Amino acid sequence: MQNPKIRSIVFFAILSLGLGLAALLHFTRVKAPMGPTLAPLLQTAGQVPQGMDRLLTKVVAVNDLDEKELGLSMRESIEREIVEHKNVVNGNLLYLLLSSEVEPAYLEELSKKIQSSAKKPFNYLILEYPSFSHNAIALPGGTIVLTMALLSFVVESEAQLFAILAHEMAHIELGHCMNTVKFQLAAQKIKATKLGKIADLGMHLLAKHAFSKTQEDEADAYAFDLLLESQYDPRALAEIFENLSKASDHSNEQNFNPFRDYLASHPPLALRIEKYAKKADEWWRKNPDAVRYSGKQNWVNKTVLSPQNSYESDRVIISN
Amino acid sequence: MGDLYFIIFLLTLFPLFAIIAFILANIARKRSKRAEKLSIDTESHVHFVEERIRSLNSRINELEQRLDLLPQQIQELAELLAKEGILSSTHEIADQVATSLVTSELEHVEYGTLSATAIAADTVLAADTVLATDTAIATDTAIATDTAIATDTAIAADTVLATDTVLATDTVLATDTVLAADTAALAQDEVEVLSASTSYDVPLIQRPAFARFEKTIFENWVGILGSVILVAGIGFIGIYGALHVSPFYRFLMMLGLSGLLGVGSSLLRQRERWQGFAGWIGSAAAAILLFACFASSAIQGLQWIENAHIALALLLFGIFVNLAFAWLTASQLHASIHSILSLLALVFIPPNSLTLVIGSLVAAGALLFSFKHRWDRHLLTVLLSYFAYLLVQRYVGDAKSAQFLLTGKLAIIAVGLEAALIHYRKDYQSQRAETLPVLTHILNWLLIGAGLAVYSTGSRWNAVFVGAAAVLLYFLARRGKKLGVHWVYVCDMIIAEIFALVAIALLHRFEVDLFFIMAIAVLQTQLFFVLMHKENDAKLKLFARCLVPLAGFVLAIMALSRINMESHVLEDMSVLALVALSSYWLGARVKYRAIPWHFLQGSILAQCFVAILTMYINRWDQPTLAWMGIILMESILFIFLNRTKGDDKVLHIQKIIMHITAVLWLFVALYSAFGFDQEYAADYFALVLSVFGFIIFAGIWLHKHEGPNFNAISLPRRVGGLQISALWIIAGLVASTLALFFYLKPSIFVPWEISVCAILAILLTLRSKLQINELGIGLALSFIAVGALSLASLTQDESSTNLLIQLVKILPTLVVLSLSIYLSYVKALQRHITWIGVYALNAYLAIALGLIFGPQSEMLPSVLWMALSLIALEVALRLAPTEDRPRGHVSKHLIVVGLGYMLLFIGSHILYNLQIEIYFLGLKLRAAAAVFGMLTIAYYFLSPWPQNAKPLAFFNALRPFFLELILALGVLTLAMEISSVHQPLVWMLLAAICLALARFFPARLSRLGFYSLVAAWTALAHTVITVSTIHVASTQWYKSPWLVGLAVLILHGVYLAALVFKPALEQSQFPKGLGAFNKLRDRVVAKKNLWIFYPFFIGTALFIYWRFDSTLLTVFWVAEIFGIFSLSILLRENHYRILALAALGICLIRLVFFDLVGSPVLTRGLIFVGVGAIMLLMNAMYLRFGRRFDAKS
Repeated sequence: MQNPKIRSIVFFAILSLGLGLAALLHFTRVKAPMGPTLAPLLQTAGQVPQGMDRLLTKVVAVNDLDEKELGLSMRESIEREIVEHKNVVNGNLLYLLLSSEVEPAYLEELSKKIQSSAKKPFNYLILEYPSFSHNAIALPGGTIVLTMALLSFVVESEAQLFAILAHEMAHIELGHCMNTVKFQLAAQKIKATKLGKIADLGMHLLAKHAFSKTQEDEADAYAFDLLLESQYDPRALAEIFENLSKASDHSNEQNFNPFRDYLASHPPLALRIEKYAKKADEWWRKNPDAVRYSGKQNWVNKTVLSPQNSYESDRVIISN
Repeated sequence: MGDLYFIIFLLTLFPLFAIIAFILANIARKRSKRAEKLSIDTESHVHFVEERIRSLNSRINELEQRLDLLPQQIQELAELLAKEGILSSTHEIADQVATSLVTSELEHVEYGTLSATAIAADTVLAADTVLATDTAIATDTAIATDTAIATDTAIAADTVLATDTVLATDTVLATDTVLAADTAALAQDEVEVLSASTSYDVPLIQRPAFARFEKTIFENWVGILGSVILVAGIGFIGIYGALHVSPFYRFLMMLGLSGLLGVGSSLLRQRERWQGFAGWIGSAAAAILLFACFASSAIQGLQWIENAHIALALLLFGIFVNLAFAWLTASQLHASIHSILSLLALVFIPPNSLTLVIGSLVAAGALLFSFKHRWDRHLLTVLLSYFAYLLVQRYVGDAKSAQFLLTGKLAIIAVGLEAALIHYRKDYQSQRAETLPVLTHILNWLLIGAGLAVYSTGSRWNAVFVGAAAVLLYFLARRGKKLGVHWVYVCDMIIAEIFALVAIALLHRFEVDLFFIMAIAVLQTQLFFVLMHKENDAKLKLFARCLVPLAGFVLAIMALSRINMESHVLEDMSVLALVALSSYWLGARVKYRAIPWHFLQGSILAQCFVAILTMYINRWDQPTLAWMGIILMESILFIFLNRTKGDDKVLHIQKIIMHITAVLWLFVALYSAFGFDQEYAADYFALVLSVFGFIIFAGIWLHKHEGPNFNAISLPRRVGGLQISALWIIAGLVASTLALFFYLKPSIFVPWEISVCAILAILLTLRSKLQINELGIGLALSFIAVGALSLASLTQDESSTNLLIQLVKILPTLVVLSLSIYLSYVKALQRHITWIGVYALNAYLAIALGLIFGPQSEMLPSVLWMALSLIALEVALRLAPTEDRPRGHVSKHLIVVGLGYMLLFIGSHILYNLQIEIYFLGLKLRAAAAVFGMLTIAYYFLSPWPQNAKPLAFFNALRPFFLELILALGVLTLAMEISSVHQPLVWMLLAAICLALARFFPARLSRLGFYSLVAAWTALAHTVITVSTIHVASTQWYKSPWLVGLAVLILHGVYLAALVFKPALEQSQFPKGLGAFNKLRDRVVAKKNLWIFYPFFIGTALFIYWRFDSTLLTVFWVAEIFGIFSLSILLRENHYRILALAALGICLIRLVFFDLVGSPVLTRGLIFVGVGAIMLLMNAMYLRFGRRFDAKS
């Protein structure tokens, strides 16, 4: 840009763009959902180690069948544990605080629903675990475990429950579960499971922090896409994050702490809420006439959303 | 029983192993001998061939002469035959032959040496026609063989033709033929040896590459690969078996493996070329043996020994073998590895005195290697390993007994001393210190110290031992000097001093007061100083010179910290007086006069004495502030008293003390301001102002009566060589103190910014008019303080949340900072000192914008900062200094400021903007901010420093890197905004854009050509690793991973075509600082097609493997192979064809062993048809274009 006139024009064009953007920001008062954080950067940078981890899984040559085999044994183990735990806590008054268990038939119906979207050769099973913590876990081989506290205190609609299930399913479908137990799966072939477990644990301790947030982000994206494919309101994902956020203390997220950002297994809930609320809003902006349901009534009645079981009161109406 | 059978089976396998190894070794030996023989014979062969060619040339000449005669002879022969009535047409034939010989076209023959052969061959053929002799036919065959030496055979043929004429020649030439055949065979075998190992330029016709390749494959590699596969198979059986036998047999198997490797190592060691490999095999053998011994008692599954003594004995055996191997090996690396392994094996044994002794013996043994060879790295490694071993022994397990600790101490001393003595050898005789030995030596002492501390028994008599060690080491170091190991002498002398200081420090175990210990330490350092002067070594003198004042300072600080401890006042004063006197005495000695540190130390200590005395006499409520003020005044008074009769150096030192004290006092005053009780604020302020008054009065008085620079100190020349007086600096800081006072008592003056800035403006004007530069320094510091307080008030003053009010609040500071730039002329330097004002102004502005606009939107300040960066650059470019403009212009600093704003933007973008997910018109605002950032950076990149301006080196050097910054920001933005599935497509597009830009703007953007390749590789890697196996929830077609992968592969192929046919990679040039990329580019360019195509081939194959069903793999892979084969024709490069053939072989195996067995009938049929068709097509293409390879070869 040797020509002064062209340079001046370019200079003022860029400056105008910047000042215009500044004016826009001034009037829209766009706020960051949390204090300074490296989480988004680390989440993005995590793609590289995650790719390495994926590559390692491929190199150790384990496949879905190995995962399925391990998953079945883990499923049996967790089922036994649930039965034992229920026997222990049956007399515990605190457990009366939890609402009545969700019927297995309802969960089975839901598992069929997510099964229809699955690509891996697993039989999905949803289990309810008696615990006060709000959590959901995906196990290798298609088992998803939801805690009773999560179902009792956090989930408010079937769409939200579906969002959770979709997120956990994503961990299975995207191979995150297999990546976590790859060495165990490989070692199992030579009957050295313990060695494999140690290797997995070592891998987890050494490298997992670098990309676990990326995996969670991938699972969120998968869950959002699955919501879009379903008849549920896509805002359900942000809503369930919001509920989770309310149910736990996240006040320390406002301070800058790079170590926390690095060591955290999940992206901060504030960022997840912001991301998927805005994505859903954008989707609704583009699809204002879409027919979507929140599934609140379905959740109350424990009937899975279908053309026959949809309630008009649950239909989401977007007002412009 | 099963185990037994299995063992028998394995035992039968071991001989098999041995036989295979033997066969392989034999093959290797024969090949080696043959190679040796060839290498020996090559030279004689070359001479022989040269001789032959020379004789051939002479024979050819002779033949040519005879050929001239041949038509005539044939004519005569024909006539003779005609006379005899044998053939009527012979005349015609003879005529034709004669004509063809006469007009034989020499130029049609490619190789000069063979020209005569060709002619001769023609002749023979003609003779063959006429005479139909067997010899001629045989000759014809000989000519068909394509070696140069075969020429001679043709001569023989020629001889056959002339048989009738000269029979005697026939015999001679027949012999020649044999020789020639022999030589030809030799040439065939060694044609490559000759051409590769000598520069002998014989025009040889080589066999086609493919024929040689085939020959190599069938003659050699089939056997070798077969053996390797057999061995691998047996290895797998062995691993399987290992899981099914008892631990003892596993132990035996490991021993067997170790033995096998050991034997292999010793066999290979005899071959020079294989010695490195043999070393590694031997190393592995020793390591496996050690592991086997260790595992026999320690690892579940391999444990077969229960008795601890036997286990220890076996382990010691393993360690002994390892150390023996380490001793015998010529490799430092191997020795280190086995030393570490030996210690490591001991780590897992429950620690006791015996294991400690054994470990120490192992370490001592390992250290012996460093006596044998000069192995510095080994020494270092062993020391570190041994220390780690000691730590483990000390802290693992239960509490340790006194005996254990004592054993540890003795072991540490013994091993440490052994390590230290390694350097007391002539090997290390040098005046110059080498880094590694020095570091190792120091580390050794450190480790000894740390080890003794770790194994300390807490005895008070340690002080005596350490002291004795210091004395011994002092004499040992002197011994090093005599030996000529100078660096060890210096090093150990210093260590001896450290030991001495440690011994003094340990006196606290005798309950000696810490202050007195420090005083003893000061006296000891002075003693050391005297001793080192006697030693007369420059480095040691320097060390001692630094140590003495350091110790003195520590003592002074300790004295000051004890100022309120009244019970010690008299003792402290006595000690201080003693040490001060000692310091002054040292300083007074003529031979030490050149060193003013003692005066300084003495002076400081004397002033501490005064301070304590003052405190003792006067009990101030605010002691620190008060006594610092007293010291300051004492310093000034001292200068006043010594101003005419004092020693220059003493006066100078005192000036330094005065300045340090003044600055310290100021800090104390400022610090105290935060802590004073609001009730006594006025008292505090009065105290500060009164001292200020004294300072200013004294400053002005000295300035007036003794000259402007009397109380000043000189700065080094590189920072301007200015004379600086702290008094004026402190005067300049009045404003900041006032600002602080006003800030802390805001109710008095509101708004205080205006009044303070007014004072600053007045002082600035005063500085400019009177040219008191020290005042300027003070004012500069005041700017910082006032700016900080102003910014602090922005955040704390709740009443001023209004944007307009906030802007008004910062305006006075902005004005006064701008004024500081305007009034920055310094007469002494004859230029403006603008940088202070520029940086202060912009730092203030940047923070203020953040504080004002941040609460509205975190993204807003970052955008404003980037806009300011753009403005700073533009202003800098427009105000760039030229010959006409004065010096000290602001442009350089504005560029720095612009870069600072840019950094702020980047930091803020990462920490805040990336969180914001809000869309505006379908575009994410954070992406818009990133685009604005990239455009601004691009403006930097495209804005060269004006040519008519004075060059700005750092900007010119930095500017090219903005391209990388744009790329980094762009990549980050894309990675955040684009889903994982679609990222490879984006990287491919990025690669294409980079390539296009590199082509269109080669002068500036040529390196984008290389980056484009990196982007393409990234796309490929992402496709292979992620897209190949990922599942998506969406059913939209454009989110389908296989489709995306396919698109990426197609784009990659197109991209590679563009890269091959329109080279951009070769033109890539990287700026200074990225020179490594130039080397990388050279490497890539040197074998470009290899670098760009092989990743593509591998990536495609893996993508197919992971993405598609296993039944389809063979077809897709063969299709890919077809692509590779086509490429080989297109690029005329043989290695692609070889790759294609090898891959095809694998596919065929898969076809037979997988598809044929495992696929359903229809699929199998389709696969076979597909593969067959593609192979036929390949065959057709080879027939059509195969000659291209020959032409290439």
